[in-house]
Amino acid sequence: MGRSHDLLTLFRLARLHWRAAMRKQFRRVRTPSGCIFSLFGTILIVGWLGLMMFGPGMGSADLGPIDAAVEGVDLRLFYAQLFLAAFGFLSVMGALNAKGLYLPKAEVHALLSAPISTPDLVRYRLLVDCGKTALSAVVFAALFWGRLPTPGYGVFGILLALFVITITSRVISLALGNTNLRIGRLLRGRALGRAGFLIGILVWALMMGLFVSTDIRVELFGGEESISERVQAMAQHPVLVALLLPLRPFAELVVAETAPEFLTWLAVDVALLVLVFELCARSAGEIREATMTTSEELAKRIGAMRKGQSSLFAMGRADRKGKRLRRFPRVFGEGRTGTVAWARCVGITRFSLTTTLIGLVVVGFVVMISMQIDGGAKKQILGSSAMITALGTMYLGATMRFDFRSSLSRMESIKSWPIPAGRLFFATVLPQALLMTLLLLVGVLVRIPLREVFHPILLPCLLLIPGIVYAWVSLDNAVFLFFPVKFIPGQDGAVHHIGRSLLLIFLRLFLLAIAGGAMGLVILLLGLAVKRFEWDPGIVESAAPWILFIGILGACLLFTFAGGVALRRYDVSRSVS
Amino acid sequence: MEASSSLLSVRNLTRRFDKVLAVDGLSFEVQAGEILGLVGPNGAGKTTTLRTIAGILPIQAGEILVAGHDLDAEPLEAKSALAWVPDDPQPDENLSVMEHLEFTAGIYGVTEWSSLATQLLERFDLSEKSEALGGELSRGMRQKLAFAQAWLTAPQVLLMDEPLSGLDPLGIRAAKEEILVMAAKGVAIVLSSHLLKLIEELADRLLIIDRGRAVFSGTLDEARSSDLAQRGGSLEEIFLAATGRAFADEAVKE
Repeated sequence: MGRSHDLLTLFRLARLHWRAAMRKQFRRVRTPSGCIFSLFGTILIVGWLGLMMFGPGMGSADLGPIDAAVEGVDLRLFYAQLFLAAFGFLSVMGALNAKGLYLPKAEVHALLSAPISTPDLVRYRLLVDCGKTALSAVVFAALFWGRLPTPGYGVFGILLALFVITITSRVISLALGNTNLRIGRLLRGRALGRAGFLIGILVWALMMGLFVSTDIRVELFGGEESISERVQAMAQHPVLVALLLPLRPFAELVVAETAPEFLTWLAVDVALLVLVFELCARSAGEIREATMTTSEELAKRIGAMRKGQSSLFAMGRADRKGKRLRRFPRVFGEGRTGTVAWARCVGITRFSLTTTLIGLVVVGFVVMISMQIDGGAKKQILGSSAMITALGTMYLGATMRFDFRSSLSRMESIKSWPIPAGRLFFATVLPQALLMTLLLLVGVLVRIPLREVFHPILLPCLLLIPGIVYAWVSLDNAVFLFFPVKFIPGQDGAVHHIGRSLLLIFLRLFLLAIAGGAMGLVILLLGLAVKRFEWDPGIVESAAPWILFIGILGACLLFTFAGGVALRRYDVSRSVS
Repeated sequence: MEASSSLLSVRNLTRRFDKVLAVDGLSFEVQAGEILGLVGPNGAGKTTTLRTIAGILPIQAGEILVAGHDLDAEPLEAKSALAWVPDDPQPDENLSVMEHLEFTAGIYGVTEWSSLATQLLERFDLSEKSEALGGELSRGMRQKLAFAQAWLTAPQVLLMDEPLSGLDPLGIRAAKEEILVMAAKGVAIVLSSHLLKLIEELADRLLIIDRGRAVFSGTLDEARSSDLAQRGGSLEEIFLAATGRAFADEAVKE
């Protein structure tokens, strides 16, 4: 088979994939619910992109220092290079986790056994990857639209730069996966991936710290010197200039203002793209072994996500392999409900490292946000504790899935168990709620030494946290069981699923608002009664926590009951994709 | 329980998925110690029938009695008397093989489970895998684990959907022996499979369903002496004749 024929066949395959994805997308729109979900999804995506491009505060006027060259330093160019470097860093980190070439589960055996040369296979995957990167480029282009000197030119710059970065990271993947190269053999195992993951977490935490905390900014940048002054100094630093130099041709295109500038840099960048593309394709050596391993590993991770788990938990599973199993005591008793709760706890402890890491990052982030609330008065303590509880509950609930969201593939077995649905629901949800409560209590308490403030009001606040967390987790699960869906970001039907998720979030918030409103109404009525009958006004203040407590307890019972009903109604034969 | 020794009684079971009628007024009984072979072409309604009996799908119409308990009115009692081996068992990825047995014992209220669990692991060739996680098991191992879990609960009714899938020849032989031992102990077994040889080998009675309806019910001898066996006495010929596929087959040959 000739080379051109190989490539044509592969392009045909890519085209078939594209057509299949489009067909699935259109099929979803045929039903009324599919139509509504897709409409909501489209409104959300278009609205979000529009807000980024033309929303308030997105114009270049708000970015004074970026627009001008200060003391001979073109800060626009520097910022563009920094952004591309950040994308490149993340891309390279991803490359360390995917040695060789990634091929989807349905293609890996067929393509590796087919009479296709490795360079053609690489070319095919590079084109597919570039197609996916183009979607990221659209988002970034929208994000920076108002900050680009000539947006029409800048978009090309972002697109070409992201293509080259993606291909370059594939060069690293291919080199690491090449069993004929020493580096490929030396860097086997997971050390690199783990290091990359930890570095990524640290960088992310630092960025978040800089973003949310003035203290950290002052600590890092020193004194009262402004950030823009520091940035100017950084932009002139020779080491940084040298490191960012390879990105300069693309940054020049991003910030191009005139047609000659644009055309010149466009020609340079396209030439670089073709060069890197061909170099990548031709340099691929013996990568079959690594390609199989990487493809299988990623397929497992995608499989885990399809079951509702996050890909990080799939990584946690791989980390555990070969280690001695930890035994979890039967703390919930030997009965049927206790057995279900115990099994969930076993699952949590099996991924303790990953779980703790994610939990700490999430709680750390939330605590950092809450640090913006200063002072040790009752109001500030209540405000910060409420913020940590609310944000932490939502974030942790979204990232930790040791409940029904990770059990879709096992629902057939779960439904055959001889346990009342309400008790089964409670036992399944409880361990996740307890874990989240524990992490949130740490988050609330850690503020005491950090801010050196304490108020007795904190104690009743702590007592409310378990109830609030359980109410949210049970509501989340009940809604999920009524409207179950397995979705992986990027899979077909994304618009439909985004619309559906948005509506379900509204539904959760609506139900929560009803519960909160009922409690507020009771307090309000009490206040009116106090006024009407001239009772002691202190009654309202002392009764409010009890009303909240009873209200939260009622919400927990109600959501557990709803969860039981949802579990009974759950139809294992329905499609959840 | 009724006067007969039937441990499983299905009456007029009907199940519809939107516009598709998956099971259409199906009725049958399984006596203690009897193995009922449930066969039918793809999409005939076998798995739907078994899932409904196992309490996984709600009963839309009809009645199911498991060991004398109405599945609709007394679901917990009925489910406690029943064990279900699905066609593609999905164990908990986080629990070890032994913990799966501990979990099953807890769920079904089996008190002295430990020594029995060890025995079952040996019988199903899982002893060396007792510390392996559910997510690390191969297809065959998952099947064996599902057998061990079902056996641990000492059920009165056992439902099995394609139970030999993924098993090696040694595993198949062991599984067949274990199924016969269970039947000898008085367990009522429903065995659904496309492997007609397996049904011929193990089943006492045969229920052929097509498009949700029973097209034949009786012993293998009764099937062989019926009109269905005109083109030959093998179960394959009987199956093809009962489901109307034999004529299509001949037309193709002609």
